[in-house]
Amino acid sequence: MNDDWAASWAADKLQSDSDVTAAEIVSAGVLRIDRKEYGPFIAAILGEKQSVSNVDIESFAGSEVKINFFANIPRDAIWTGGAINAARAWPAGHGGFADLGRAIRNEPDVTRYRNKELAFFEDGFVQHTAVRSVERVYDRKFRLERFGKPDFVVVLIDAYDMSAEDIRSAYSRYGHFDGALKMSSYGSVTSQAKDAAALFGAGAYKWGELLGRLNRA
Amino acid sequence: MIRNQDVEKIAQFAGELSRQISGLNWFAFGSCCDRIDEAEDLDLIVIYEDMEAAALVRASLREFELYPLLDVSMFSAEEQRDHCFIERRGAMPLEVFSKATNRVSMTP
Repeated sequence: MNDDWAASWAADKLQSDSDVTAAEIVSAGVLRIDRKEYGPFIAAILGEKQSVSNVDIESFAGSEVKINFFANIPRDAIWTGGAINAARAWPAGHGGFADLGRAIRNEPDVTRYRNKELAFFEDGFVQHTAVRSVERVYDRKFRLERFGKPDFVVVLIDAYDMSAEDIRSAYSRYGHFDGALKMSSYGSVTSQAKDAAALFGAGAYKWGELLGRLNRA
Repeated sequence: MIRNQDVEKIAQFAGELSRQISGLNWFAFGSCCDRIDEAEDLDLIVIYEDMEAAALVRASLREFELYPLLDVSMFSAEEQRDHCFIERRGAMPLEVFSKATNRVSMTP
C-alpha cells in the first residue's frame, strides 16, 4: 500500500463517517477533512508503515499546507519515541486511524489530541514516586529511570484479557521488556500469559500490581 | 465505520485462513454485534491450537486490507478452556454474524 493508496482508502472510509462532511485529497498523502461539529483540518496519511520514525514526520516539512494531524493506517503500527516527539514539536496530533476518528469527533483543535489511554499511563509513570524520569522508547514502550534502582522497561498491552499471544506478540514487536502491563482495568491476565512473560524474564501485570512492582528492586 | 460488506470480506478472509491453518476458530463480539451502523471496529476472538498457527494468523492479519477496522484477541485452546472467553463475552461464530448482517442488508 503506497501513501496515495492509503490516503484514498482513508478518504473513502471517512466519507462514510457521520461526523465528517467531506474528506478530500489535496496533495500526495494529504487530506483536508471537513467536520460537522468543528472546523476543518489537514491530515497527513503516512501510509501503511509498520514503524513510523521521525523521518516520516519530517518528510512533510516542505508541504504547501500546514499539517494538523499525522495518521498511520495500521492500528498496531509502532511509533518510535523520535516520531512522537517530532509530531508533538510540529505541533500536530498523531496516531492510527482510530485516533484520527476520535480527534475528528472530540477535538476542536486536533493538534492537541492525545490518546487518552496512553496519556493516562504516561502521566501515571511520571507521577510515581519511585520514578525519576520517563523515556518514551516507542508508542507503547517506556523506560522508567528509578531512584536508586535499575531502570524498568514497560510495554503496554491493549487487551481486555491478556493472553500468551499478547506477550509473544509484544516481545516480537518491541523487544526486551521487564514488565507487560494490561491497559484495561477489567478482565484478566491468563496464567499462560504469566508463563510466557516469565520465559522472557519479565512479569505480566495489572496497573496496581505494576505500581507496587516499581517500588521493588 | 464498519459496513455490512466489510463484515462479509472479513468472514471470507477468516474462512480462507482457516482452510490453510488447521484448528482456527473465529468469533465476533462487542458493540458491532448490537449496532453495526454505530460500531467503529469489529471485535474478534481467534482460538488457535499452537503457537506457530497464532504467529501465522497475526502476520496474515497485518497484511489484510481491513485490519485497521479489527480489534483481535487471540487465545490458545487451553486458555479458552480455562477462562471461557467466548461464553463470557457473548461471542458468536464470525460466519453466523456475517450471514446475519448480510440478511439485514438485503432487507428493503
